[in-house]
Amino acid sequence: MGTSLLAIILVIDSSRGPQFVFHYPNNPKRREEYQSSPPGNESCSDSEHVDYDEIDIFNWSIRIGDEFDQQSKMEEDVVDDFSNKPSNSHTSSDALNSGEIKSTQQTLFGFGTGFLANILSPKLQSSKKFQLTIDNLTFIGQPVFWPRDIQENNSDTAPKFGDNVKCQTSNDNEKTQRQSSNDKNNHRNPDITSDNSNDSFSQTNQYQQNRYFTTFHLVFVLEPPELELNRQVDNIYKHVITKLTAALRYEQKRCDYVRIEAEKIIALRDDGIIKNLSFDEITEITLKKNSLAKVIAQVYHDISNDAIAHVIINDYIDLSLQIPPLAPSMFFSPLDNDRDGYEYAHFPVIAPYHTLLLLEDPEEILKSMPLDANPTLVQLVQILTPTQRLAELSTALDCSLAHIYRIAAHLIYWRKAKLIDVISVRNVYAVNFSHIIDRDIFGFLASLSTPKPYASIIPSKDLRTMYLEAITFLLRSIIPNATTADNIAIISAPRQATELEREWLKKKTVNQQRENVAIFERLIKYFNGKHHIEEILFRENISRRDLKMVLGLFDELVTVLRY
Amino acid sequence: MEDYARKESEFQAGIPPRLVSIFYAVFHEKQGPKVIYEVPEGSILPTSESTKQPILDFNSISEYIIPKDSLAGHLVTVCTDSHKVLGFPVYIDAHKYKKVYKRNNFIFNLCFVFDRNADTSSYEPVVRKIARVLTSLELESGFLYEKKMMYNVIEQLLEDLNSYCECQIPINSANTINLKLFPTYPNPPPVYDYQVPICTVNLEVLMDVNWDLTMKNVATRINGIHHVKKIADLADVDPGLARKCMEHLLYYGCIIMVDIFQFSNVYAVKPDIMRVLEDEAVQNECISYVTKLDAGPPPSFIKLFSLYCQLKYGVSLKEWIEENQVSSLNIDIRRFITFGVIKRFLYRVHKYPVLPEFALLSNGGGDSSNTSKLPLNLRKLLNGTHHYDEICTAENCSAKELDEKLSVEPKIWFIWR
Repeated sequence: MGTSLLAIILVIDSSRGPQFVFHYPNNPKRREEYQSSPPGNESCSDSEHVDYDEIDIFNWSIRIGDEFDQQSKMEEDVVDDFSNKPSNSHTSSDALNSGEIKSTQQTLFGFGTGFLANILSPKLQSSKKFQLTIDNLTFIGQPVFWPRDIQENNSDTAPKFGDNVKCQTSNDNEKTQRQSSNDKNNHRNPDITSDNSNDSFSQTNQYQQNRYFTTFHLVFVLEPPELELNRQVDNIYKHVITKLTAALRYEQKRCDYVRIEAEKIIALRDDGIIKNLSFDEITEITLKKNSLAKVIAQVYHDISNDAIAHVIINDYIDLSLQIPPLAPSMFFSPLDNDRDGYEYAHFPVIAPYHTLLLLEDPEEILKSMPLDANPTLVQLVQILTPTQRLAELSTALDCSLAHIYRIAAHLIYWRKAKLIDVISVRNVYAVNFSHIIDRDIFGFLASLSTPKPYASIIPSKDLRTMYLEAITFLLRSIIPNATTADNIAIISAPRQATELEREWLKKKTVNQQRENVAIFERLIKYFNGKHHIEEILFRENISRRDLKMVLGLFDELVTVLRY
Repeated sequence: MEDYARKESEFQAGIPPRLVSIFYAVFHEKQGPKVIYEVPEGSILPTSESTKQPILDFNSISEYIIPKDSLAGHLVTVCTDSHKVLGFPVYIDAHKYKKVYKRNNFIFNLCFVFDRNADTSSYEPVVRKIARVLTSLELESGFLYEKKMMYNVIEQLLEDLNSYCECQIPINSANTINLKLFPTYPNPPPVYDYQVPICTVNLEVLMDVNWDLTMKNVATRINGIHHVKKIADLADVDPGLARKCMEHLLYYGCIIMVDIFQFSNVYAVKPDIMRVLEDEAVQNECISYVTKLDAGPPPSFIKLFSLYCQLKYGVSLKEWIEENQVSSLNIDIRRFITFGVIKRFLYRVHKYPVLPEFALLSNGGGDSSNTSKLPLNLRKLLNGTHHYDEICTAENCSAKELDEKLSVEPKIWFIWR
């Protein structure tokens, strides 16, 4: 289900034109190149005719590109002519960039970074979703615009931000550079207007208007497999990009954070280039020295590993980002047919007879909570043991069950806990895992391979606590999808026509003791395959032994289902 | 049944989306990027008489439609707030191709517009192909730059692709544009030697003389009993090729993979079995699928259901048959099991032999265990990630024979999962 996040890119567009600030990781790993394209295209099986032209499609696009590349090398001056001609709205700052840092031009995904900065800076200011796909690479982001005069005002107050000398000097540098680039722009502008006819005047206008705005754009690069694109784009946009961008925008507005940090990164890069460092070294230095770069790298690592990214932006905004997992617990029904449904459809239904299993040590969880965390949440994490039902916990904490549910849901959503049935020695556990860690547990695991009540595995009463802890540990770590073998009782009887059913039941139960029949009739409403034994015990408050006995007596009528 | 419904929706996902508009744009020598033709009219270019707004603002995306050289020769998809535009910008240099263009180059792009949320995978090959065809037409005869015939072409493209998913447009005596949309399905999961293919369609009927020889050879040997490696052996085909054939058949939904049927197997039910209770059609399907032909009355579904429920961890098929006297019933046990597996409410519980020392030696690096009597290549498989079916297939032996082989090694644990 994960995302195919390849890289995160930060681009800013200011009076100096679009600038490529930072990308992480330095050398993104592409997905294995479309391993021989989907079978549909090669097709020996398709009974339809095979269009041989279709087959070389992938190669073809590359060929064309190559041709153009070669040709551009061969006739460089012609091409230069073409790209420098300030003929339309994309009068290139690219040309400016290439003048400035031609030797430093780095490439990413086979494109020059200057070129990427250009195409990733939307010319129209609308702070909406940006989405561009080039072959298999998809770039998504939410550009942020703000009027330049505001930025200028802010930059006066910027130094209060504990800024060091370095930043000052880089600012100075930048000023002179900006001047020179402005000069270039001025040279260009008359050109633009003279060259363009009335038709594109509006364009030029837009372009110039845009000059009064500054943009930053945090772009996520994905390479999803076929048919996955829309889902992955929506997920990462909704859960990560909008939230992270909003926090950065806030900090930008508050204290010009993004611009200052971006300029520091550029200064570090230029510095590194002067010192003849490799790009890997430059990235390393940048990550050490720059908080924004650190945030980007951390978000990249956590999101691409399908974990929760916990970042603090500018020591001010505390942000937790994740793409919520589709199946957060084992209670999730394994059918994934309604994937696109309600966002929380895949989260388990919480019931009073469930409990929570913390997936980390309570101390860890408490540490990761903000200082103003809900006190009940803190208490719950402190007292939680997986042998107590949520209902019992709510009495222990003296709060409503609804409140406990909310807290439980919160912990589950943030992957700190999962919903399980109360761990008890009478439960039946079976192994369902893929990692084996320690030799000593082989015997233990092997004994779990044949399902029987957990108690029967425990050699003596003294070891009971240890064995309970062992199963807790297993449920938590080694076996992410350990299934407790749930018991569900179902009646195998004519299911329609209750009248008939009743008659029939009467006939069947006639030989049994009356009190047993009474219990059976009381419980019969649960015997439809939808109720777990744990649930029946909780709701009817009967003992496990009684239930067992009834099920035993009526075993002709009731089948116990285990999964 | 549920899984079939899902299949259906998966296949739905591959159906080509509706094409909202097509437009043809070039780099105009005086006016820069410009839309020359569009269908339907007014979709891209604002029209003077109607108040209807164009569906997208060309100027805002023109840098991606008529780009500078770096983007040319790439499939470029750009999204506006409401629409998705697929294009393949082409840059033709006058010098190189001995053409005469006013600006010494010619840039064009034929763009396909969809709703923003459309899944356009099936259109990608088409957009690439038409760009290539138009490029060669232009290089051969100046079809785009001199003869202004594109309007008719794009009009027919929109009409035919939306209505028939294919189109054929004659251009001149030598050239025809042929396009066909193929639905895109997700790639099939990898196929393993120990899996058993079962046909969902009658492959013999589908087969014709044009089929690949290996594929024909392999496909005729699918009987729902042989595993892939055995099929490869019988057909005298390289196992790798046999797996490849299976992947193709899986891609088109012609086969389903199940496990090797053996009486030592263990199965267990999944929660999905509850859905069967609510679906009478599947119940009837089940009865007719598992009943032996011409051998007395069929069993009731209730009976079948309780039999499914008796399949659980720790109970082998053989024991299950004895406990429930299944052989006295009119049931084809193999079909009974495969039905559950195909409908995904039953799953195989595999047996994993583990030699702890070996698993912990971390993938058989320094192998000092001279004590073991097992051959090294077999021991390598005992790290807990290979189950019986896989090892038996690799070793070409039965489960029973493997049991015997492994019995010389007392330190083996078996894990069922």
